[in-house]
Amino acid sequence: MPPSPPPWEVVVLLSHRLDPKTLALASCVSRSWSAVMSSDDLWRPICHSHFPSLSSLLLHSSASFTSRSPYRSLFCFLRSASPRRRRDPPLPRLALSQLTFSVDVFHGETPVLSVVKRGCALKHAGSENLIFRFDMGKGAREVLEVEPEAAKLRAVWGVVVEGAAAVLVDCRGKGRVMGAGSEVWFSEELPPPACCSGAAAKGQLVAELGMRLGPCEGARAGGEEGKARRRVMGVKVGLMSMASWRYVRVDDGLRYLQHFFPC
Amino acid sequence: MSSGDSGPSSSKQLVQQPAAAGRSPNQPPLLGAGGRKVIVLKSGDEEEFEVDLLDAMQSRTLRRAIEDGCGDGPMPLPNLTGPVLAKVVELFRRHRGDPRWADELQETEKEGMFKDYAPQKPTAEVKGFDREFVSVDRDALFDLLRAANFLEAPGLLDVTCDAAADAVMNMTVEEVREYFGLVNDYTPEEEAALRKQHEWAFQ
Repeated sequence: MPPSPPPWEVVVLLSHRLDPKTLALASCVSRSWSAVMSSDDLWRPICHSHFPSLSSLLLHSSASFTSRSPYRSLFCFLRSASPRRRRDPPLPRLALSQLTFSVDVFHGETPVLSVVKRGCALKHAGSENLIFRFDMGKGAREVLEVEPEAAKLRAVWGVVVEGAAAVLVDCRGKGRVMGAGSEVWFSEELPPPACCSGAAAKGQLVAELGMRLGPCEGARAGGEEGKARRRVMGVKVGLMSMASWRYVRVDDGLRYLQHFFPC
Repeated sequence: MSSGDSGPSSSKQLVQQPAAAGRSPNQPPLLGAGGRKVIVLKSGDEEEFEVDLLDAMQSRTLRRAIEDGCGDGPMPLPNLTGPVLAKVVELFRRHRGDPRWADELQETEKEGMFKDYAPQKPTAEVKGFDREFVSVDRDALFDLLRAANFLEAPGLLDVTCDAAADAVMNMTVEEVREYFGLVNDYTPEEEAALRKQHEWAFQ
């Protein structure tokens, strides 16, 4: 047989001896306990000792604390505000599947490569599928003259979301040829977002576009006049953090991108 | 501290009733053995306890009654049982000179009435007594709490309330319900909302 509930005055007396945490737990016990444990007489001193200046500031300025047991609500609000500071940023409202990536490469004014991929078809580059780095596959035009004319190459990486577009990379003549001509990389520093975001907290971002090149079967080895014709084996795009010099996580990348696409 | 000069043993039952007839409220209270002033408390079940007047002053309720001149005859305390009152009287005796309320007494000092009642820090012995005092079952503890509330005795309130609060302090919501015999009358949605609001307390 369960014990009989304690006399009323015992609960009231007890309530004055409990710390905020136990008071909060006790409010969840039952309706009658909640009535006792929510009393302003209990929470007013707690608020004023834990958050002296914030309590008076908020109580006089915010309509949301004029409800029943304002001091308890206020303490709950302030108490959960401290961990909120450390909490992860909210999930991005953009999803990868909403994005369409396009990559165009020009040699002079002549388009030499063009790839479009929808977000749902994007493949993560490498084994890590949490980072913002994607394999765009091969382009429609595969043959590309690279050396020694990297200076003439222009690369554009665009992102399209529901009719709006952002250009992350638009580099002319700044391609870096690496790996003895087997790769060309373009990168561009991105502007900091207009308002705060997880990406901003982690430092400025760099958008990066890289092409992997292989030997072109049709071209003669050595090429005419020292030109080596190369075949594009694949295109990769990604977002890197300048602070850590690592690719950002997908969520951080999406949170950055959503600044370009007001919903 | 107080064991040597306890005067009339206050926790034992008093056999003879002090004569009180004809005394005016302004006359000094009764004198017990050794010249100490004593009063008699009578529980709801007709048990009588002799208590040193100064010890009884720890209760604001008793003090008001004494100051109103009700300390002459046995003072009826119908809502306290004999066993509860016996424990309370013993605590009053052990807490003599406890600074928590002795300070308060000094303010009402009249004619050196409390001159041997100097505040003292609670000794280890008193603390041990306090721990022993509340090592009782749940219902007995609640009875003592109610007595403390009725008597308005700060020392007694401290000891009993702290014991009850300590019992609750590290309990889960379910354990509190079980301990206090309470029924959860929230709907699942209401309880979920409350727990969400108090999420910080559950971590």
